[in-house]
Amino acid sequence: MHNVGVILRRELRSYFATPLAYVFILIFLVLANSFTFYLGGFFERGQADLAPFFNFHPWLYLFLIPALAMRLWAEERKTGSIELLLTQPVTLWEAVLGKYFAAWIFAALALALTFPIWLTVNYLGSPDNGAILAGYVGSLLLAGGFLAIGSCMSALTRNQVIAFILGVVVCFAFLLAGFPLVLDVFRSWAPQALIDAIASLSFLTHFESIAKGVIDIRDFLYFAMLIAFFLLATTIALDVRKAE
Amino acid sequence: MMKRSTLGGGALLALALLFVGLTILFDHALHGWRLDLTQNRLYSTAPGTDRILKSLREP
Repeated sequence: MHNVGVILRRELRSYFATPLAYVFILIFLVLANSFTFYLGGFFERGQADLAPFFNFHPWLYLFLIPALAMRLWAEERKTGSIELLLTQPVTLWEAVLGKYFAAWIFAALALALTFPIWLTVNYLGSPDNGAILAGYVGSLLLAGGFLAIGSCMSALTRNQVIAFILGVVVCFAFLLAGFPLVLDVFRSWAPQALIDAIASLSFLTHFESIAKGVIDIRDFLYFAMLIAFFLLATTIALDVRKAE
Repeated sequence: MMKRSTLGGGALLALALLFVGLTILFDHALHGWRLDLTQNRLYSTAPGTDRILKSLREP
């Protein structure tokens, strides 16, 4: 477990050694806030809550998180430093966890820096702060899920662009599973159980149910299992294609 | 001796099936374990409502 911490700290520091961290955080904050105020109609709604803020998070993460995750393993493969890393006295599993948690903590930091919107809504009215807390928890879990998928896609290839595109496509599929666009196709002929099963695999269904203010153990377990599955898949992909 | 990639692919498929299966299973099995964080308990029933619901007899 000690090695996970070492890799985590090294990775986290490497984000801030390059412009990556600053560009990512700046773009995330600008987009999150402009979506809230312009597309979400924060003022026009006349309600003191952060629903227009959280509603855009899945779509924002859809392309920002794969951009963050694409470098995790593809870059190591490209530069050949994966060989150096894996011949150190760390197991593959520790390296996967360390890199993943460093990226997640970084995403959490970007999310935490959106606190001015919380101050704003508290200044303008008296919002339900419990629901806002749940929204932040949901958003953090969502970022974790996207990152796990991105990490797995990054482990499959040595090309970062391919890792990015694969990450976006897989994340998009997981998002869309709960959308009427997909569910309506099945609704006319499939039994309700199948529709529920497809919807239960969707990020959107689980995220929205947390963001309205209720943390259900099913939503929590879904994200935990999804992250565990994709991290295991990352480890398997790296193990199989170690030499390439 | 099976090829390493076949083994990995099989393990992945098994894990994916396990993930989908557990998600669907939990969706049905784990009802009611929830933490309502809204200030006015918008998504929970009041104790009085619970008593009334308990006293209802099934037809």
